[in-house]
Amino acid sequence: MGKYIVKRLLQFIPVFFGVTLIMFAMQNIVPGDPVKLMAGEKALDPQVELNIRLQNHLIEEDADGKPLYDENGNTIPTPLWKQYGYYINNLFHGDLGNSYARKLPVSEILSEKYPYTVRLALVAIIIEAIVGIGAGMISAIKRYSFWDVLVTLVTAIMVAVPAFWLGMLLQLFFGIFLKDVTGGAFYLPISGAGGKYALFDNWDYYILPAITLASVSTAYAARIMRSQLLEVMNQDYIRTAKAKGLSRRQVIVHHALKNALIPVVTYIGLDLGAMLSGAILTETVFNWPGVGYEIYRAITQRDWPIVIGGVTIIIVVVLVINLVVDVSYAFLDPRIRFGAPKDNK
Amino acid sequence: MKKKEQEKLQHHIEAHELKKKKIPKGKHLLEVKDLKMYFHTQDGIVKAVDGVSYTLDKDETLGVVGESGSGKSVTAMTIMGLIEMPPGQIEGGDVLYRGKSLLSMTEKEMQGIRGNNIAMIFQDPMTALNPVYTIGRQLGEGLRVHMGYSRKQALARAEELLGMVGIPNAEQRVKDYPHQFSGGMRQRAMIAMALACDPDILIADEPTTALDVTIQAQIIELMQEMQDKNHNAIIMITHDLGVVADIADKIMVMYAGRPVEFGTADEIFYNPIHPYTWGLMRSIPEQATEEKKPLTPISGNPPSLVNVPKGCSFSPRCPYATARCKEEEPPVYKTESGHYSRCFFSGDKAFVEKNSPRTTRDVATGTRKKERKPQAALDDTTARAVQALKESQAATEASNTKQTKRG
Ligand SMILES: Nc1ncnc2c1ncn2[C@@H]1O[C@H](COP(=O)(O)OP(=O)(O)OP(=O)(O)O)[C@@H](O)[C@H]1O
Ligand code: SF4
Ligand SMILES: [Mg+2]
Repeated sequence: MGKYIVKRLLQFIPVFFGVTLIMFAMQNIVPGDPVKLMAGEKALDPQVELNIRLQNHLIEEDADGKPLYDENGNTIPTPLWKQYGYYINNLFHGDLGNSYARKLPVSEILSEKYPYTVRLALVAIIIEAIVGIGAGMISAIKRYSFWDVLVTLVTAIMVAVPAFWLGMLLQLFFGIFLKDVTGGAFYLPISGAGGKYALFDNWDYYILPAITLASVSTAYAARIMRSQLLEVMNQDYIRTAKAKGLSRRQVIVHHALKNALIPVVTYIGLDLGAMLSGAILTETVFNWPGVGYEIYRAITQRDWPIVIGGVTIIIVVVLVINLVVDVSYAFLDPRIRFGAPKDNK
Repeated sequence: MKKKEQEKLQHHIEAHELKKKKIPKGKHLLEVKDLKMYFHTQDGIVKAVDGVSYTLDKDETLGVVGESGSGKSVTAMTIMGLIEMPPGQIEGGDVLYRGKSLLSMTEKEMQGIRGNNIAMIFQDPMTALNPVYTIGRQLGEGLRVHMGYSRKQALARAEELLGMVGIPNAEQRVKDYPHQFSGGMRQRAMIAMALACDPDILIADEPTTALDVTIQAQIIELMQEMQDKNHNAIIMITHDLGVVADIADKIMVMYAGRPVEFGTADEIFYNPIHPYTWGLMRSIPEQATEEKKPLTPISGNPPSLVNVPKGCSFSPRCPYATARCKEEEPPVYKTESGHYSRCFFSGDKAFVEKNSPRTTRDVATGTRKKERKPQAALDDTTARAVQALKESQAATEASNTKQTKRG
């Protein structure tokens, strides 16, 4: 097991460099001079501009930090491989650059936003796991019953309804139609929320965004669970278990569930990774002050350091989550834990 | 509370009592009477089992032989109560175990019987074990359900059982998962699992089909050895007449859901009276070589069980079929010894004499049986030699697994 984790961690290294390379390339491909974007509307004093370029390692400098000039008296742009080196170095020091629009370090902005995304994702994933697995199980166990038909129907609708639209419907229903009943609870005011003074510590506020965020994947989780359980129930080892004299309940609980859960757990785990990357649509609809909304805002404002820094962090988070999922997968499935003979070629 | 516990265990208690009960006079350990199991499918009614009858007593081995799709597995599963109903439906007949009807038992009562009184092992040991639990846990499960063993007791017993079926280093091996076992070892584990609760009847559904030839012989031998010890009855299902030649006391040949011939092993091998049995015998390789004739497989394919041919169901493939065979269903021809056959000509001595395969084969019938002595009767040296032999076999097997793992 330990070996397996180390092996997986070592696989991080090439992925990390690959991803940062892509990010770095993007930074250099997006149109527009970064210095101009930093300056915003204002025209820059040439000396200030030179300093910014130096600070950001866009031009070569000498040992004293003075810019180097070529024979024509122009500054020399730093070669890209060197810039990449600076970028990686900064990354390892937790420096993701500064936001153009907000003039704050990207790392500071993201660390303020991330907890909201994490908490929303956790609530959503709990809903997804409980409702998805539960509904899928009922559906499979009582196959072709009223409940099965209901689950199949509802999940089909849930898959089809886009998250942002569901979010709006929920807001409309609970926030406006039921305003008097709920006393405004559950309702996240569209304007003003996400601002400095909005309070998100009240758990009521998590319910509607979490349902919105979890909706589609809950439906998928239920469907995967149903089909997996039905498939597992046809396996030979289930017949063996029945032949031993186990009751239907024992067969399902002790023999079918664990096998059926393996792919579902994988799905839900990967979904958690996706949710932790910031649900741009849900966060935008609910003005949720998480990374998804922040990245959305940064894109509209061409605030590239936030976009790139955010995406870099997200990729690391997704990698870690994938590792956790794979390890738990191995925990559920001994064939992976110990390596099946045929895989050890 | 106490009462509830009692109720929960009631069906197990009944099953245990039934196992101890003396078989009523005139009854058998297992008696299958004109059993019919049909499947109601979209394509029509599949008559998977259509009038199977036989009796079985302790220490006996019944071989059930027939081509793929002839209803062998469904017969066994029906006895175990493992057929989903619907689509399956029992259309008639009965199964009596120690004089008690299994078909009229409730699902709960059957749970008490399964694994405890009647156990079953399946064709493919690669898929018959749950991949996510250890061998030990799966071995002990029956004991926990039927005998109320604790987890620890069950594991200890599982270890013993595993050793008993010839798996070396059992105390380590119980902690292994199925994928760490070779096919032969898994089938040994399956046998150990089936025998855990000391059942009266062991149903083995093609237990060796998925294994290679050397391992096949070991598995069969192991089953016999266990039978000598436990005195259980065995129903050995196979599509290969050769496999049952050496071990069966009785043989039932099935074709298209029906037993076409049934008799003692001697009767089937020395004096077969049904053309389908002849066909099967001619397709045993050794048989063919002794006759100095090429192998003669039965031509054509088994019929669809939805549309069983009119008259004798074997008539489209039977080399001796007459016009009558295609119109009328042949009656059961039965000798006083209980040997029976469904063919118009089974009673015709001259016809049988002329067409049945010459059995120069000194049919093993005897060989194995005569050898079969109680374990204790073996003198010490022999016993030790046998033990050593078994160990080396098992060791070879174990190293084979290792090799596959490494390779
Ligand atoms: N659940 C089911 N629904 C419909 N038909 C079935 C079902 N189970 C079995 N059958 C049919 O019953 C017939 C007998 O099947 P069975 O498995 O008993 O054959 P078999 O003699 O064991 O063959 P094999 O040697 O291939 O194992 C087959 O034609 C099969 O298609
Ligand atoms: S009844 Fe006729 S068709 Fe059927 S086995 Fe006998 S000879 Fe062949
Ligand atoms: Mg079969």
